[in-house]
Amino acid sequence: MSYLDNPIRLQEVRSFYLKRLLKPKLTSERADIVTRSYARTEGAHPVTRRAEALKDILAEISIYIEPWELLAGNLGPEPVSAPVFPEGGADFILEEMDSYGTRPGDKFEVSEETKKELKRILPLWKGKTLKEYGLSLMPEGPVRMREAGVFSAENMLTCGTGHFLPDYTTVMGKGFRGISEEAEAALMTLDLSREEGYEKRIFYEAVLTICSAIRDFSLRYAELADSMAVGEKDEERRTELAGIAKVCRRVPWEPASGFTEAVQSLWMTHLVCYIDSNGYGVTLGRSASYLYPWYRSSIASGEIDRKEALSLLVSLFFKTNDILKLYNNNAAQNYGGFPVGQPVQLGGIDAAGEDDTNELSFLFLEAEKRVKLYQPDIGFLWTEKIDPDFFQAATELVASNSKPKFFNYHVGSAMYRQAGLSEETARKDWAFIGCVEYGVPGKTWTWADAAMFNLAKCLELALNDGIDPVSGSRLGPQTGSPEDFTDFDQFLSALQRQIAYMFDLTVQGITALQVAHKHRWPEPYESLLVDGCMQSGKEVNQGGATSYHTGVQFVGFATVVDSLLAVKHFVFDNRSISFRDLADNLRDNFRDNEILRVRLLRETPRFGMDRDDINSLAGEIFTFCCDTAGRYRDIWGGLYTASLYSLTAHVGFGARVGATPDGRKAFSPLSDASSPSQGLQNGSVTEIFATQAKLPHHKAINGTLLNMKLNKKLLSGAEGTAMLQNLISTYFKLGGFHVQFNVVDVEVLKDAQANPDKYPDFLIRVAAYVTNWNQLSRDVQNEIISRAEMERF
Amino acid sequence: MGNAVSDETRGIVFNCESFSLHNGPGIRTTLFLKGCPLRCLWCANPESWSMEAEVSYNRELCIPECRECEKIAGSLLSERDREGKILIPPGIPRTDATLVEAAGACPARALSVEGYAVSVEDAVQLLCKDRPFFDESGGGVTLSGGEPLLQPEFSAALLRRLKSEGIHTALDTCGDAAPEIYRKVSKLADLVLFDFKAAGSDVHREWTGKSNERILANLEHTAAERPQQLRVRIPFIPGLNGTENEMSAMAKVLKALGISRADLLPYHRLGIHKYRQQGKEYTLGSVTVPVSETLQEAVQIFRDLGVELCIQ
Repeated sequence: MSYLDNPIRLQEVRSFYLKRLLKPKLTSERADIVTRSYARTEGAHPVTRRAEALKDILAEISIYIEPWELLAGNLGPEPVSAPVFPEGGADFILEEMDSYGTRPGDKFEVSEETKKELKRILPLWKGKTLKEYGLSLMPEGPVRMREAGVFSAENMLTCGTGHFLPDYTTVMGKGFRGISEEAEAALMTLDLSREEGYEKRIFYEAVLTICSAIRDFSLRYAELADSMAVGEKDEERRTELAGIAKVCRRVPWEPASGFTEAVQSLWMTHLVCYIDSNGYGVTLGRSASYLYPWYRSSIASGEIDRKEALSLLVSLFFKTNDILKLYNNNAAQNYGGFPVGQPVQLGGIDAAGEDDTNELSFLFLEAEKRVKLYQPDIGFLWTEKIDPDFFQAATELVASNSKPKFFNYHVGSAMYRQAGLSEETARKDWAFIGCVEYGVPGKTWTWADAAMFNLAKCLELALNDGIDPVSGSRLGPQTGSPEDFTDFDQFLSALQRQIAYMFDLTVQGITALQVAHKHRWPEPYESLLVDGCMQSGKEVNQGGATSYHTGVQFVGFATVVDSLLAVKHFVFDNRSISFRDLADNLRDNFRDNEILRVRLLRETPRFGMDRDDINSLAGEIFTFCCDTAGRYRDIWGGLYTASLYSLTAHVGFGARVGATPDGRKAFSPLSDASSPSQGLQNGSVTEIFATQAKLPHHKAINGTLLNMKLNKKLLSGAEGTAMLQNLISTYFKLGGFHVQFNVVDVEVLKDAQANPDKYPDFLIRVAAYVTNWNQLSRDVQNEIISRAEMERF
Repeated sequence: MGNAVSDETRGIVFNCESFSLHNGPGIRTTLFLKGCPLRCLWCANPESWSMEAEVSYNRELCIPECRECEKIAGSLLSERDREGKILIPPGIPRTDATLVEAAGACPARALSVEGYAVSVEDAVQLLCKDRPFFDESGGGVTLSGGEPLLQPEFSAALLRRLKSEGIHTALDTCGDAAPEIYRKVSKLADLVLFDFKAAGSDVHREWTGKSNERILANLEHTAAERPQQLRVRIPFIPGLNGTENEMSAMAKVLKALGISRADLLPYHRLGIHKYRQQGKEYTLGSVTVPVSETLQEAVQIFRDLGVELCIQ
């Protein structure tokens, strides 16, 4: 019996994680190693330097195997700790580290010793970080817009790319040894009389460095497990440790020979992405399908049974919660709750077009039922052909775990086609990346979260002739003052001009960062896991991959749609207020005119009510955003794609936007993702679904996201599960793309806010991820509370 | 809005609730008709009693500096409380025409009008909107109230039209109607949700204002004629019908009618704020929400007498 088969021990380990996740440790070890490595390789090619840095880190970081673990490989020197990546950005950590223990959300414990180390190390990076380089490349326009809160690209400013779906099956299938041999063979055939021969040589040599570094890293665990086995009194654990040692001696260097090796190989391949790049959203994809051939053969050969396979998955699921990322204070507001996004995709259909559910799919749900922590996020890919038992099992989980989230394959495959990918690829590979973004395993290199774009700020500029009322300075083009507009369409086109203008500057900002990544942060390791680089001999940020795309998230969608509806209704249709008066009242944040504000709030037709005119306006704005993005290509020729998801950026961006015509007060949160505005009952549950289903989701290739918070009582018993299935199937048959549920009681939320100590393990879905309630800042908590309770008595 | 009179094609309703999950099978839309012959002490919808439009006042929402209602109602609404919010004089009936008009002008919806007229056609259009959800879940439309049988022409026309649209219908009734009306309308519904409140006639009068003879006769009729389409629902009110005696008496009545299962609807207090808002008095202030053990005891009493209860 493995350690976690004992339910008491399982709960102990869960409690350990929950407690640690409230305030994980920030550690300086990696910062020290990478600093010494960069000093050693000064003057070498950036690709070489990244490979050498990874090698040094893997050789030197502290390693451990906890008593409950069946897999080996860790990010920080102890469970639930975050490393520092000074090469991404150093100044902000120096400035902010004293506040990490007490900031409103995403707290980190930073010991005095760590602070001392960081104060020694971080100044050495002055002028040398990705952040400084990226900002130095950024033209004045985007710099000003970023500062004004028009867009935010913090995610790509200080770390590697993340957000991709590594080609795990290649590593499981041929091992890093196989990849190494390919690199060696390629090196033999280079034409060194040509410039590109040198580029390729640098890349393939980096590949060799990395592959052997990972082999040696695994061997360190083999030795550790052996030495631990010597002192181990429990016979069963001794056997397990011997097993770990045996597995780590083989994989991921060799091809996996059975299920245990395949899981270890997958974990190690995955983990090294985080050790190397600090990017979030490295996706586990359709692991249940990737691992299934190994599972089947190991079950058949008697190497493992179902229960042992489950224990391995439980261990894997716990391990994903060790992966943490430090966000700066600013970014922590937009990415509240440590989102490191390691989603698993279950369900879907296979290459032959049949339901892809297998025994492992059920085991993944079983593992989630036991572990029930932040990570991994779980997606359920619904199709008309989905196994009803599996759908049942997945929906039963929602009441207790607020996972999985649900995706509609039929819309997802339309997105693939829109992005120029084949139906066959969509079938076998469809998986979401990070939150709701598309990506093909091992094929696409995505800047899926290149930037968050503040749609509501554009509205504010359209209301003020391009002047930002918050700062008083001109940001956008002169598109007219309120008194200039004689009909609604003129105002609508003013808004569209502001969006187009600001989006162009956002693309400039993103391009500067992509160039910075290309120059300063090549990712030779990740290049091994993406189609095209090994074949072309080109690192991924130099353009080696076969497919790229860049995604921008439009934030505040319903706020903008509702505001337009208010302007149309009050100013142009009813003429009950002049546009000038309305604009003046907004500038004054409705001071002395609460009556106007409640009129706007209560009498405005709102997105979420299923009315043709509202749906059509929403569709028009939605399409405009998608088309605007679709006009651009990233530095590698990849498509710009739009999405409507916001993580917690609707709170951060809301704080930069004054009062809006929908009756929203200045600086309060914007609407979240593609959901209707908060705070009012804008349509019933079924109306919201019907409205959402009418958006042309397939055009937002980077995904749309619908949050639904359901009262727990709604989901109780077989009736509740059946209701949820009916709701989801209806929504998807109507054409919806994604929905996720937060199962709560508003009273519970309020109580949890007042008495945090009573709710140490209150998990909540924030946007596309689940996190601990107590990790969220009060603003985000208030925001969640204010969302309309969906159950009416 | 307003005091429209119902005729063959128009009904007075006070609410339409979609995604309704406990008024029959599947995902449903429930239309609440205004007007009720009973005055159950525990009623959670006091706005359903009268068929006339009446005004509710949610003091929280009133904006002191606002004078919109006063512009219409004048001295009727000129009194203010300490925080400057309006005070509706207790002597004014909530159905007063000026008050109703003033409520229509309230921007904050602190004053609101309960009850509006709707034609059968408009109602059908509204109720069919969630058809995809009905189809997927085996749901449909429920007519509730108030008491739908107080507006028999409207209810009958609506049930017929919904049937012709292929939508499953349920009639939620207290059963207090003339037998010919009851029979004529109830047979049009695919399911009758029959509220059974007390076995004894005296206590029934004490708790609901009316005796239960014709209710029992109507129940008996459906139990005999259409047992498959009948679902009995029992509100469980601690201290009133929620006693051992009354529960066994009710179980015996059901058993005698050949009814072997019913739903138990535990007392809740979620409607109390509406009494305050409508200037009505709530007299069950001291009754508390039953705990699960108490409900289980009721289930056991029924079970011993051959009736299975399902707690909702």
